[in-house]
Amino acid sequence: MQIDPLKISELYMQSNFILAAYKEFGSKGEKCIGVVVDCVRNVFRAIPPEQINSQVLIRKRINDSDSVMEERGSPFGIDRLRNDLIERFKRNENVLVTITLDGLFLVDSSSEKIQPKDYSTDSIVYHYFHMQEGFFVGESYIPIKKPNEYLVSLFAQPTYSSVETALDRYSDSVAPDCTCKILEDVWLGGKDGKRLILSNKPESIMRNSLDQYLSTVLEQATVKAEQATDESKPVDLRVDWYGSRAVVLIEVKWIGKSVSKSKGIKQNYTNHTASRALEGAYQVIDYVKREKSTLGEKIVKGYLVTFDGRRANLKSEKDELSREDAWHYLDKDISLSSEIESNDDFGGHKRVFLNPRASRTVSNK
Amino acid sequence: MRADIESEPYVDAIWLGQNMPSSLLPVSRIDMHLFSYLACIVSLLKGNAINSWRYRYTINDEGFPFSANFDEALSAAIRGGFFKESLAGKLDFNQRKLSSELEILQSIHGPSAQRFAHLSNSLRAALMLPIGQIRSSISQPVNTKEIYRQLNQRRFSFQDQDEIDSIYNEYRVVYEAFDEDPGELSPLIVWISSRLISINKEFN
Repeated sequence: MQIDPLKISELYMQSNFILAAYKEFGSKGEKCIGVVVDCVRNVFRAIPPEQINSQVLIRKRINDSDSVMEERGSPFGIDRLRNDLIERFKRNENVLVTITLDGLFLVDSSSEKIQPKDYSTDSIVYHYFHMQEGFFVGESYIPIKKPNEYLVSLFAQPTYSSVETALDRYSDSVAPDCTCKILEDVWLGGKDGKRLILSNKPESIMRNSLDQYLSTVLEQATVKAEQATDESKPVDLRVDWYGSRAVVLIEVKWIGKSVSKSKGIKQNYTNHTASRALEGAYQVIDYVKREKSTLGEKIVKGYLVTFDGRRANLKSEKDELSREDAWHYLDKDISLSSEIESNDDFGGHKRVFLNPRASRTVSNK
Repeated sequence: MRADIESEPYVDAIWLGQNMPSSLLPVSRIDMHLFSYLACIVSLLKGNAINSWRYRYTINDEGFPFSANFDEALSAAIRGGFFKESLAGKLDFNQRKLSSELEILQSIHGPSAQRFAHLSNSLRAALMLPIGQIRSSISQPVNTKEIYRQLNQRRFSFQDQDEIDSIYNEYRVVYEAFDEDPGELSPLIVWISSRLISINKEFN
């Protein structure tokens, strides 16, 4: 497997708070970071970060001996911490949680802003405020770079037990504005371009985006991108749950216009219309039948995900589309036949509308 | 009971139960297998021989790492009252009992600071990255040809030295990208994440 060195530095940035803790405090810093992150995760499980309108500081001293000397008050356990914080956040209080030597918690809060640097010389301090988070380590502040914009906090990853819920969230929040990093490359011109024409053969990008998203959010599941093992095209994604007979097969289709390899000067495009969704639905039902015939004991369902990049009156990437034309298909759902909808092997269809870039459209003419 | 259980998987299971970060709870049996498998990988990445881990894993048809020895250790811990398994398959840990059990085990088998460090880094990685991503990243074969041959087939992990060398070389690429001593956790996190990106590219 080839590890891409160019990607390493980008990934490194996502974990450089760990590196900073190590550089400042050595292996004690790494240990301390783990303890702080555990607390952060617990807090955000109790109260989603997007519901918090005040500061959150979570602090752990590097040297446990310092903790014994300076902490006062009656520390308490995690269950009481959660309830205590819920009440303080309702009052919009800025909160400082100190993790004690014994792994218990002390809480202070204030209506005034708390200065993290007052605490970070001998501690690691996590800080969250209005969707921005980072660590104060010694004199330095290390902001956290999230791998995807749809995450409010790196330490508050959603998890779902059902594919339907995960796909709903994906089509509502993750895909439309390419907040998934993988999906940024799906457009000709990238995420910051007009988002009118899809890149050449965008299906692999779409599949990888969905693959990574489902791998992250589905509980106790593995997600695999399928490879051709015989002459027939396999389904795009397969989801298995440990210890369960359930298997989900997902077929990914796209509709809209994509750039195809040009011959000479003229740019060629590939167009796919809504009928492709129907094709995809029949395909996934066929995959389910084949899967059931070879793995009789499994309960298999097929889902179709259609990435919808359609635009009205679009001829080429040079076009300046009106807002009306750019968003023409926003609410244009695709009807599948009643034969498909009533088929027991068909779990459902999710249409994922990919938004154009509003600032790159023109006013209605 | 302790006499008829292999020591390493049992000690690992007890240690993991005793040191499980509360935000990772509740954990399932298969999560425990994953944490122990990741710790084994950490040990390999530190240059230790695969045999030093003392028990092996398979990657099952569904892509989950699994060890029969470790699973027996989990069952033993449940029978001993150190873990409790719910109907939903989630494990609850009796911290008081685990603490004294671990003390006894260390007095019998000797301290295992290095092994516990690997387990500790495995749990810290699970705090920093989604468990699903860790599983996707580390359950894939290292060799591209193997991906095609072994998809949907149960296989032993780290069956041959070439596979171990490959994974070690992947890690070295990551480690050497850091300007100075990066510690233990940063390169592990970056390696897991970069593997996931490489896997996506292999399937394009």
